[in-house]
Amino acid sequence: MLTDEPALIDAAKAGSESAFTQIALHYRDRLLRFLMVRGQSRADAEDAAQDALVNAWRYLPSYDSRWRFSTWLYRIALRKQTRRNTNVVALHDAEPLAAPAHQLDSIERHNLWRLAQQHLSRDVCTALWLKYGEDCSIREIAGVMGRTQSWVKVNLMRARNQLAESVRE
Amino acid sequence: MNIDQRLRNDAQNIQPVHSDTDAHALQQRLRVTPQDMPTRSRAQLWLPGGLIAASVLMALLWTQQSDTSIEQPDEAGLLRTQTNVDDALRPLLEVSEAKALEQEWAALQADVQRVRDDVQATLPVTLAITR
Repeated sequence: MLTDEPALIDAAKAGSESAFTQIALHYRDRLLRFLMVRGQSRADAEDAAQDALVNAWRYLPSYDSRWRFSTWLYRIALRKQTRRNTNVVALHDAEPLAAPAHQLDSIERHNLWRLAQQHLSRDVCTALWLKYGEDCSIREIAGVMGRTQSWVKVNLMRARNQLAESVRE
Repeated sequence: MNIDQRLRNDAQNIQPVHSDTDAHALQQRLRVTPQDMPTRSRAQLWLPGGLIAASVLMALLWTQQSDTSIEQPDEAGLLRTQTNVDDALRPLLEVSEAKALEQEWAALQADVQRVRDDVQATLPVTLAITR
């Protein structure tokens, strides 16, 4: 977490662009990784991250500081991406990402997350990332993804098993 | 190393690289766009235009006054000029003000609509997060 994040958020809520820029620059890399793990190419992830941050700036007054800022930010990014995807093609949540080669290139060849992208659905991969990449609680993951906590628990367990099996192969 | 540890370690190895240009682009995009500009800022845009118009008008009237009256204007002359300027500016200011108000009203309506849209768009997010 940013050292004086609450103060920066308050300042940003009061209209300070520089305060928000500090917050945005702090979270940008994490947001990018989050989007890349969801199967986006680096360029698309950068665009989506920028969009999410601009939206966060616009909707900042509605941010409830009882919750982690990152959680709120991911939720915005996810909603934006889902909306964009549904405009193009219906999402098939159950299918693995099967991302094109250029998308997988954004993650190193031996990285386990590359395997996760290939074998898990986009949403399961996202839940897994929030758990291991962001240390989010089950409740937070459910909140970000708009899923039940049971869905998160079950799918995390399945994902781990599936990945363990894939690594053994 | 088990799966949990590998997932944690490998997560740290996904390093997005940025250039200074990216940071600059982000900052640029965070700058308030004309669409997002608050109403009061839009109103402020009228001020420089109004001042320029008033200066031009005052200069014209001053020239006219100088041509038709004494070379060195006395206090009464200056007051008369001021009155003339005020009289000449009034309709212009009224028109400008009415136009500004009209623009303000349109901008306000657009802002209200945007806020409505934003609330509709963010309400599910907020509800989901605060659940």
